[in-house]
Amino acid sequence: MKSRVLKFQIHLAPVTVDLGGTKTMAWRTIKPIFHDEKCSQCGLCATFCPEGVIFQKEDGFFYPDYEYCKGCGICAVECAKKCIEMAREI
Amino acid sequence: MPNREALTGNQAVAVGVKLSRAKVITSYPITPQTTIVEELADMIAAGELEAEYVPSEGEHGMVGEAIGAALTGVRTFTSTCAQGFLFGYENIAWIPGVRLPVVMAVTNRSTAMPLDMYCDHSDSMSARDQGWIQLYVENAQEALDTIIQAYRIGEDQRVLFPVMVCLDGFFVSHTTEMVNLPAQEEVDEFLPPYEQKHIILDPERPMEIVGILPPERDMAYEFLKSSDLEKAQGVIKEMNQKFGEKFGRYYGNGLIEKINCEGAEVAIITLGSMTGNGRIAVEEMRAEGKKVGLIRMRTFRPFPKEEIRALAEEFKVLAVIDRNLSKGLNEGALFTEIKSILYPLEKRPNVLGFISGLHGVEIFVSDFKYMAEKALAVAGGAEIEEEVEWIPRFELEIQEVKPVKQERIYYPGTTTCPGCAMALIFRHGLDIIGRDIIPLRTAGCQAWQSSIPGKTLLNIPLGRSVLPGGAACATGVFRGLKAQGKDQTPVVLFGGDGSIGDMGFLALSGAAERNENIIVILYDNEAYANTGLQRSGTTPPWAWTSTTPVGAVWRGKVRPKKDLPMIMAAHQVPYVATASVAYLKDYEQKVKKALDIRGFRYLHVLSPCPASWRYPSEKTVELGRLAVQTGMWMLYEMEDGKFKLSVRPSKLKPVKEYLLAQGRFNHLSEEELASIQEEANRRWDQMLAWDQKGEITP
Repeated sequence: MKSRVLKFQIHLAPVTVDLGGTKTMAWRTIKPIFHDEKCSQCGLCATFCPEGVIFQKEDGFFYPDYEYCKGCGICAVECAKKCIEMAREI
Repeated sequence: MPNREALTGNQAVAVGVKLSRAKVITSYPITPQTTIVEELADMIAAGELEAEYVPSEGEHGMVGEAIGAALTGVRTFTSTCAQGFLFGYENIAWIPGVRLPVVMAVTNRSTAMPLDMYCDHSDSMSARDQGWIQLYVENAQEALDTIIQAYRIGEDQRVLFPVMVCLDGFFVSHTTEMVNLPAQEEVDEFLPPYEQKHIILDPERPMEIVGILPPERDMAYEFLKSSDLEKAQGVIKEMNQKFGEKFGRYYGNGLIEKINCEGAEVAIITLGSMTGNGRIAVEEMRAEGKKVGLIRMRTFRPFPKEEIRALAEEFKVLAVIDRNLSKGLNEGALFTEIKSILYPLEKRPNVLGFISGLHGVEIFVSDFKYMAEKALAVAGGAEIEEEVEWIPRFELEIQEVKPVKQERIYYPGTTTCPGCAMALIFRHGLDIIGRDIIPLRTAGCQAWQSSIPGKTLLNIPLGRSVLPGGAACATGVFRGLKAQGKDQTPVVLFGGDGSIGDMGFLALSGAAERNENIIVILYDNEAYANTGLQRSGTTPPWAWTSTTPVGAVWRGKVRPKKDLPMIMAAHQVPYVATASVAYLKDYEQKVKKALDIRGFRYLHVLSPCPASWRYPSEKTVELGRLAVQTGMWMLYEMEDGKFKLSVRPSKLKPVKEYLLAQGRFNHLSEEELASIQEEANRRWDQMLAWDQKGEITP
């Protein structure tokens, strides 16, 4: 009978230099849809996104990174022009 | 038909406490213990249990409160585990010496570092020498029954010792089982009222609790403790028997439980919930004709010497599993002690030690079979290959740490709740402070900032401290830097109201009084949000939390919000400011200002929390704004004592708009709302007056 063996590469102390976050898209039940035609490019959505995953495109408009967006809806509430719509995910 | 209910281990403990009619309950949340004290708070709030409930500021206080209560002769309950256990240790170690029969549930959890929330016995084992009775239970039913027995044992005039009822974190604490509920009358018959004579604080019976006796007298007390505790074995057995006769449930002989041992040549010795898998393994092996038995230690202190020595006659090999480890000895307490107990015997069985299940690692049925096979091989004449074996085995390759500076400092992918204001406060703070800093965080919601175990979202150094140690650790980091001539590097402590403001207040106040050169950014979500919404010092009055529930008797928290910024200002530090997540520009300016000042700088940021305030996640910023617009939270700064309002709404909105948007206030009556409005108005007028004068006046 053999014993269980676990093999790890680890640091001496519990530290990490390994960058990476959880892709939380599956947490979402609703997602923000950005209607650029009404957008004034004020950037409040990006400012107030708790995850910091709303970015500005070259044309000045904004887009969310749907891999990380948790669908909290703050961007839609804070949007000055009310041009972000929270739509059902499914 | 017995009264049966599906209960978790923690609920079973709470029911046991209720049935035992504990009169004082002292509490502080820590995973996985928290649901015990939440359950008890619910019972009191609903009027089902009459008891004093102390939601403490930390475990040191919590156990201290239990001591104070028990000194008045009242039946007292408390509970903790892991880091909380260690924080309360000074008081934990104190109790046996004053012979107070306090009962403490310990939901066994590993101790940091490495930090996690999972089960092992490192916490309670660390106090095994202090004079507590330690009973380790296997399941929820036994947890309930053992709480009742614990009071009966501890309060027995032949015993008078505190009792730890140890239940494995998550494995027992959070597993739902069908539990038989004893009837109150029967419990009352089994557990009579307690009268304390040997030590009491009572004006009718004046006595002084003394210290610093002559060494010989103090040593005599140690002798008395140890010999009395050993004798308590008899009472534990007796109460197990009496309990069994009354309720039909026996736990071995109270000290150890022998399972499937008839005709066995080898026995596996377990502690706690792991016994469940052991039972299955042994049963299956017996069916194959293998002579394996199982012995569960139920009582670890006092140590059942006679029972263990008797095993020497019966078994050729004992395989001992430890869910704890003495580092540097490479043995667990159970193994070490069993060996030492057997040593004087002429005929000694071989004893094999196994270290397993640390930090919540599962001990599988197959692991039990492996250990049993090893023991059987030794019984059959094989040589012992290793005295102590780790299960699983580890083959480790130590890697050098190779940090690389990237362009970005903050990467996405936190596992904070959707709509978390803390995440915003942290990120915008970092945006201003930049990358050449040393930020520290305490345990709490902030811990979820790094999400995947072993990965980080930050390309800057990020330290961490224990829950109460934030300001202390930050102080040390700054002093360490200074000693190396690097005192221009800002040291920034991020942490919550519970950790920095309640439990860590001692360190915070100390650092402020010494004017340590650190920046403290406190995100105030007005609760212990990370452990599931318990009240903290900064929880506002009337708020529902899981430890200030609303019921027939309770109406939420009764005390005002602890005014931490003003308390910090009273330390006469160079900079104190308040901020709100909704006013990020204001917050950023204050961070900037703090950066340019040397000395102790304190920023207190309101951090609406969808989970504990009970509102939909999209309203986080809106509530942060409404708090300021209604005067429920005011933005100001104090530079060298000069007071200045930062945001001054021309007319305050009614507090209702803010309060009724949150589920934690939806029980409020018009009258209660009016009283909050009145207080908000009074406070606003005071702020305006201070703003005009530029200073705080009484």
